[in-house]
Amino acid sequence: MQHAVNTIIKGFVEAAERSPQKPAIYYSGHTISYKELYEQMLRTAQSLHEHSVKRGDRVLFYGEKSPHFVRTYLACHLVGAIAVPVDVQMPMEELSKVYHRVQPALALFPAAKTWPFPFQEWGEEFMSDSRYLIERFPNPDEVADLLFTTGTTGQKKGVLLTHENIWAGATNSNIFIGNTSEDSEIIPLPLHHAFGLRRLRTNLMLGASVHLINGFMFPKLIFEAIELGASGLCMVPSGLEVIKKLTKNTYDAQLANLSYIEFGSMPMDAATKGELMDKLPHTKLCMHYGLTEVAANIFIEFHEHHNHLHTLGRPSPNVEIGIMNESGKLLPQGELGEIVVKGSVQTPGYWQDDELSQSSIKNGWFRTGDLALITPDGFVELKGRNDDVINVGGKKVFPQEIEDTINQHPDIKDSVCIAVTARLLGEQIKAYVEMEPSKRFDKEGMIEYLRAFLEPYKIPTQFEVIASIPRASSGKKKRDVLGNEGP
Amino acid sequence: MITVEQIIREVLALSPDVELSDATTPADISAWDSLGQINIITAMEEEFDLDISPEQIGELQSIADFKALLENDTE
Repeated sequence: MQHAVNTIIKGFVEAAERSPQKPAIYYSGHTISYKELYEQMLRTAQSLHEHSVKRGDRVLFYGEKSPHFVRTYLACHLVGAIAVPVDVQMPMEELSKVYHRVQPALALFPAAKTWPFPFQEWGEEFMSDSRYLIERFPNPDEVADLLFTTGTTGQKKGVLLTHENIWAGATNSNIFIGNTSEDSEIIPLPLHHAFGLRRLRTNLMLGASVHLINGFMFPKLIFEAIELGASGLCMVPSGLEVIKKLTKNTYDAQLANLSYIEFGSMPMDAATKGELMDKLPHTKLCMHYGLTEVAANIFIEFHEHHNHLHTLGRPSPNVEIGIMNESGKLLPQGELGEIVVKGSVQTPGYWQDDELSQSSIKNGWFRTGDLALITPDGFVELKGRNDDVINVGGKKVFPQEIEDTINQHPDIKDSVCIAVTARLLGEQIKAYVEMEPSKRFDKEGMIEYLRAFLEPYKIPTQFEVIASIPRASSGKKKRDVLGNEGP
Repeated sequence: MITVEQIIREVLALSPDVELSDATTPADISAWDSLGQINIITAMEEEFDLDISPEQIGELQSIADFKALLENDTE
């Protein structure tokens, strides 16, 4: 009996059986067909099996943008292991912490660098000569992925996603965007991150093609993919700004050939939305709101919802959105409260953090931390965040993590970090520092120091020495009294 | 006259021990991201009074490419 596709891995395997010759991945001038990717996945899965990786084991691996990533990711799912891809820019100290928290059965990393834990070599070598024999596909409720995202404190959050969660995230966005197996999508976003990874899964589940491109620095690569027939693109608004800048605003001739673009991860201003609608009149301009924990739970399409561009959009297909007050009561339409989400996309919780898992779910709803109201016609209007999060080019940064790291420097007494508006990246970080007596501030030395502990995007671009950090009588830092001037 | 290397070093705030050569590409230097690339191009345009076209920008993938652009433009 034929069972319906209910996991990404099953969708991929069926797509490979259906159209083996179809390109799965375009990468750096090479094309990998579904048949080839399927074979590579089986050989990688066999290698995992030979290294004694069992169901439920974690496999920690290098989150680079490459075919290695794709086959390793799929192979983990095929053998029932939990895929734990990590940011290639994660500092060693942080990576070491993640390793010890995750206790992976296996770590796969490039041999060219030294790593603070035992690892197997990442790449071509990690493919057995024989093929894995598929016994069964994972059940939808088994954990598929463990993704680390920035937490409010120095400790990263390990978000667990089941096979059902990732399947639902892909299915819901497919319904909204209208993706089919005929599509081929350009993915310039990192694959260890929830957005890029969801787009990869979405396309592979359908039997569509992906063009893997490293970032937005070379728009030419994106344009070449469009000439090759790419129909879609996923990007963050800061990526668009980079393309605009590097093409001197001549991007529309090529991007107008796309059927759709999905934006996400950071807000886009009204002027940019208007400009895109003018320049790309026939391209579906979709933008999602979501978190790693509850993927793409609200969607908007700029042309169709041109009267509601100031909102996040409407709940995604198969997702329920509510507005909740502090005591956990759902509020009627029009009242301001916290956005809460329910549906198959909802994470079962965090890795080894029961306290956080419990506090983030209230009466079955996932709490986003964002404040909004629902308009009379059912659109979600964002009004603010519950915390002090800074959004650097689509990546969330919690100031406390940066402050805690700065404060560990022996010359620093205290510090406070705030967001400053940056023309291209949305927001950047400014640090105000209070020095220990008789110490002088050395910006370059501080940046060098921070590099050991923080990802590059978390390092403040501006520093200012102040006599003392302003605090309220409660002792809480008063971030709002510090200036918000441009760079 | 200021050199391409000096501009890149200054724009990306590189410490003196980072070595640059003609073969250096953005992949070799973590600070040389897309924003770094934009800032280098802007600094080059200002410093050498250039107007670099989108096609030329598309070819700028290493320090050698920046130097070649400069040589062609100032001939």
